[in-house]
Amino acid sequence: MGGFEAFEHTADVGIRAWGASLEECFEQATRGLLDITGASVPDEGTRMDIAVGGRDLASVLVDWLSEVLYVQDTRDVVITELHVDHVDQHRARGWIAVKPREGPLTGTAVKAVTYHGLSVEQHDDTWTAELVVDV
Amino acid sequence: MELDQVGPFEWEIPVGYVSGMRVPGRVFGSRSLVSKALQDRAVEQVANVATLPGIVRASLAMPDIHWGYGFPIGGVAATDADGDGTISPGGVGFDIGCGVRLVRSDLDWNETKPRIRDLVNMLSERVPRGVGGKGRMKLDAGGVDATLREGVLAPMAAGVGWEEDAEFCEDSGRLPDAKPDLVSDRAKERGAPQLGSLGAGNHFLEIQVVDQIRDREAADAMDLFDGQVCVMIHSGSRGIGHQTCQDYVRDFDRLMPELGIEVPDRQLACAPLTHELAQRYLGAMDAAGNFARANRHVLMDAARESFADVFGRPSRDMGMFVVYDISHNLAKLEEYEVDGARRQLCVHRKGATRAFGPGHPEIPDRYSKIGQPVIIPGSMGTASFVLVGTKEAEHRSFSSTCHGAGRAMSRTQAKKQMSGQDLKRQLADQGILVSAGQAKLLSEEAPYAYKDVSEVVESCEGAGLTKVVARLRPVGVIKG
Repeated sequence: MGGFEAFEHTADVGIRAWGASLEECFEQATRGLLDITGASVPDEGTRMDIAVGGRDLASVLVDWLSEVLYVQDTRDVVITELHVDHVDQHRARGWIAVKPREGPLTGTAVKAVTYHGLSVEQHDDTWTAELVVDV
Repeated sequence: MELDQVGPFEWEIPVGYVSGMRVPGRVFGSRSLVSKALQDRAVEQVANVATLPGIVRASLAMPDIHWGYGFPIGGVAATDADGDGTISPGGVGFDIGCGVRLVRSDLDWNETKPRIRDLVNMLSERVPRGVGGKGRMKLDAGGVDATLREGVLAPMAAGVGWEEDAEFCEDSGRLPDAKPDLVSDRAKERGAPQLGSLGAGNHFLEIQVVDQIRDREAADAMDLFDGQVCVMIHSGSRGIGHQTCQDYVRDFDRLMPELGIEVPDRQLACAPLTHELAQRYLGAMDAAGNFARANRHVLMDAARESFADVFGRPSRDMGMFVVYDISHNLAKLEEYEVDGARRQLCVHRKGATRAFGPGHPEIPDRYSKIGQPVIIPGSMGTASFVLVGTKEAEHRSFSSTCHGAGRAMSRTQAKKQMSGQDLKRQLADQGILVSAGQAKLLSEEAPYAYKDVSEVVESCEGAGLTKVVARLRPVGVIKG
């Protein structure tokens, strides 16, 4: 049911992600980010727990994605699997599985996750998130 | 809503264009450039910036303006540092201190042309680039702090570059109020392995040829001549800047409800300059700005070395001196006359370049008569320009001008038009050798994805902000 797509932005890239639950929505947003950077490689990996907190749901999403980006950038890894356990207005918790990178990443370098055009909203049964990343 | 034309290259966004504007907006540009800005809603972002508390006179937009994230790219906003002015990290951007360095040489194109392929190959090997590229210069924790504190003086102390290089950088290569302690460990971790790496996206190292001189006196002062081979480097503070901005936007965002300030875009989060967080950001921003300058300095060293290897002569003997090094993503505290009194303003320049005029005390003596050099990188495959600042810019744009061509279409659209391989071939046919880290992403940076840089610089000249000195065309391009 969940999914993600990139949307148009003049200089940067927008990510739209959705899911039946907040957790699924966050997972899809993460997949969307990794799709841009090319850091997602389905495989066996070592689990890393991630826990973030923010002043509201939208900033929790920014913090969550920033954390994934930070790991990707500093540990020279690809992300093989991920799972978001819990999300609420002030927290998100989950894990990513990582494996050492074998070569350079094949995607677009993402500098950071922005607060621009940021939204995390529920309509009917679907949670949808929109955000823009700086490339 | 229409924009009022208030000068041949100046348009006003009236207060009320969006709600909460404290001052009008001012867009510099030709009619056609400004209508492009209206089309991609960048004008709305200019108006949003006008809601910042303490903003002085107007929210400005350069002719290369385009839609950004919060602040438009090509935006200038000055807030009253002596009063209730605020600072907004989004007004500087993630790539803190991103900018351009121009290096001259004594070589002309005729003698260089036979060796261009060797040069491009040598540079491809020597210049780290792309995602996760490890920098040329390894840094330990002490080295990171030294670079954050000392800017270009840090690699220079390690024997990289020449003594005279520093003078020809803004702030003599070192922002003195930098505070490395205010940069997070996480940012330092990201940045430590990246000193002397190009990055990706629109960053580049180019071999260029001066193909037009417009202002002979200024060109002479800069030691530029027709047919001369130069090297231009466009790069920034890498992961250290990105993380620092991310860290501080987060802190500013958290503070906003407490401050009772409301902004139309969350990325415009701001705080009064007198607030402790604002002061901390300034120290961290300057540190990241120093890293960016040091980065370009180390990349320049790769270029000097490559030329020396290919031509079998020391680069110094080939006159490879720095013309100037500018930043186009930075906030500076500068003094301007406002309503008849001298006031200290915090000038945010996001995708805009400082452009001091002749006689300004902060520019090298060598350029005192002509004004501060401004380096305008074109997009890949098109011309770059060297300009000089004017006295007029002081009261027109807080001594600011454009930064480049500005994007005209999204990356997805650009990729659809042409494949990276086809573009590379097309550029080769035009006599431009491109070495790209990732060919498939090349078309995102294609010339057609950008506005016409010559129209942009002509508009800046028409508006009295800067004057064109010379045009340079690329012959070899190294991209991430």
